[in-house]
Amino acid sequence: MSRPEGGGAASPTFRTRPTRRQLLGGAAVVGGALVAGPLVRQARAADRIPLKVMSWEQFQPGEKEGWNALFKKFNESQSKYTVDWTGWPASQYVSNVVIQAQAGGIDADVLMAMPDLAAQVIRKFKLAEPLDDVVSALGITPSAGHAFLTVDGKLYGLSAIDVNFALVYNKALFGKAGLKPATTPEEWIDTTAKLTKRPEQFGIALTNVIADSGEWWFQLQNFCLPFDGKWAEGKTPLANSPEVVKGLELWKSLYEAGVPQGTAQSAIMKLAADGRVAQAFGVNPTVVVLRATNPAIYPDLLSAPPPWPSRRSLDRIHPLIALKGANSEGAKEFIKFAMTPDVMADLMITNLYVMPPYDLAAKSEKFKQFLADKPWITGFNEAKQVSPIDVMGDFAFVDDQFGRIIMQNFQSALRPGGSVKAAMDAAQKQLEQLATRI
Amino acid sequence: MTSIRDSDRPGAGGRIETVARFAAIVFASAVILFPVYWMVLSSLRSSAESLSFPPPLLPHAIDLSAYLQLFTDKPIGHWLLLSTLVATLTVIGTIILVIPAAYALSRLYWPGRTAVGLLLLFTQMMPGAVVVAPVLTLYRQLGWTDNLLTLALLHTAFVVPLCAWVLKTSFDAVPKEIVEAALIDGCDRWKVLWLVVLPLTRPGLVAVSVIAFFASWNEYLFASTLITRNELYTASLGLATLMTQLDTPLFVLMAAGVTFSILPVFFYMAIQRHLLRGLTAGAVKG
Repeated sequence: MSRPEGGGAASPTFRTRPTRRQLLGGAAVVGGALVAGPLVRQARAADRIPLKVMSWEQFQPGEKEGWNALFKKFNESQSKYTVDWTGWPASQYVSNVVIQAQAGGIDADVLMAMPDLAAQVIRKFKLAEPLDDVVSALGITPSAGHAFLTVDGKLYGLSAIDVNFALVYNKALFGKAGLKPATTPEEWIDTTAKLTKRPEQFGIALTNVIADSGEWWFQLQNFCLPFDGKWAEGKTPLANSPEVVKGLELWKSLYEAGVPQGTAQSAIMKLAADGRVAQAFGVNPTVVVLRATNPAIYPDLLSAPPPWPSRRSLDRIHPLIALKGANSEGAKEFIKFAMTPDVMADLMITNLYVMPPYDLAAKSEKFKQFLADKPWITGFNEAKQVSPIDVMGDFAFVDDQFGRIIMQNFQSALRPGGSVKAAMDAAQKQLEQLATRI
Repeated sequence: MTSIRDSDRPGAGGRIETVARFAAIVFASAVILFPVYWMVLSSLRSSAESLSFPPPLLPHAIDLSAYLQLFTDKPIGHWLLLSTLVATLTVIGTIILVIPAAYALSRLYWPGRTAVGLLLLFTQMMPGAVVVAPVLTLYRQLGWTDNLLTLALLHTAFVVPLCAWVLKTSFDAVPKEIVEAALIDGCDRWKVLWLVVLPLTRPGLVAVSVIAFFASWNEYLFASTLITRNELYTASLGLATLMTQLDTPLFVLMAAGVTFSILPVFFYMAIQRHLLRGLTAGAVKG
């Protein structure tokens, strides 16, 4: 520290460190700038009406670029609105949107929703605007999976992302073992066991820890289908029905044969991306995520239909919904723009979405060519689609609570000597209690 | 050199007790610290090493790629800055509100004092999830959503009751005679508070600041409900964005966890001495 010449005890000291007052002043300036920043930006965009689009896609690896491009095109296509992208990551999305709805309304003009959330927004909260005029104006026929978005003959949502489940497999690992994807549950267990060489290689990726409950239920929900069961019929839960119990016993056999047990979903996906997992029961964006994590794995990925006779698997349509409110016309305009064949084709090509909201291949040549160039979509196309609403009955409104009860009880069946039937009997009782609160 | 007398040496029973105590401390420390160690370790080694079985307990080489990815792909610095801003505002707001509240509970005698004190504690017993929807309704009506200043105000509202009790305990420990002497010497209540009580209860104020800072720093539920604009994300919200629908970059998340924890850890280490004194002030009266 330097002092001025001749400086005595009373002389002011030159300090290289800022004083407390300067530090506080600096903090105030930084704080002021942070508070003022958004105000300046708001002022700049004041000539257009902000159109709030709420989704989780901005947090998805490999998907936000496609949506950003769509928003940019929409902003450039007209001069009235500008898209303001808001939302949360998928893990908190449903609960946060429901909290908003319970607090009186959703802070958005366009809502992207998971199927169960869409059902709640449309049927329970009644916050959606019908989109029939958009459909007529575009001259499109929405795919059959849109049935659950229809109430009293009016359509309240159009698919932005449609995913279904199939077997995604690594052809290199299957080829090395001289195996083909299974077509029956018995073959599936056998193939999985043969492809497992712990701890270096695992036969199948299945989410299996309660910490990943959202993902686990997302997959596990399909396991009522191998033996043609349902989780519920109306308000009657069917958790301990023979079909569901057999389906969960199949899951347990796969778990014992070749799952990285007790491993977080994120670590399982990393193992799969590193070529250490032979197959996964997942949705088509699984391929997108694996490609984003390790592009070298992409050429080895193929898909096969669900390995049971009916080939039925859950089809999850994530619709765009125009919400009631001051900007509902703008919301419809945005959805109409997004559904335009060329715009939708660009989004699907960029984000590797392969299931369009309507017969897009007939309306867009580039989308047709895109599909022709994707050998990994075969299995997804061969799967027979079932909506989660069809297998959940009235529990579709409490899908996450239903799933949590199933998983918490099913965990006990995964212990050595654990019984799936006993676990599901316990779950059934809890679900019957839940039914009284629907 | 002093020799140890036989009577000073621990006997067999004493040695067993010492060893058992030492073993218990080591065991408890290992249980508490191992997850933190694993987080740091996972953030510093290659993913291939982490995913090998059995995973090694020590890294073979330091790999900073998770940190590199975190700082290049995510605005972690911005998130931390906003968290610091909100936590600092919460601390300031809490200190301003809690000093008169604690003084009123500790040193003034008025009807209903005990009931109001208990009512303050009662507010702490309500889970956040129960009040989140009403709070959102209120904030919407006031136009306070997507605003960090009002988020800090909410954090302040949540920590004030607990902090008022902590500071009240500190104020209680100031001898009554000192306060009375100040009053006789002509100080009014504000002067007593400002010139006598506060200087003597500085550790209590530090404790209150730490409680407020940590509560705000870690708060997620209300921040997640009230803030939807990405550019206003605090660090707790930002970290959650790393967990996506089908994939979570585990090792980047570990690096983010370490980065998120470092600032509060340093803060805590710096004021730990004052904090312990503050929390235990008034606990024992001799």
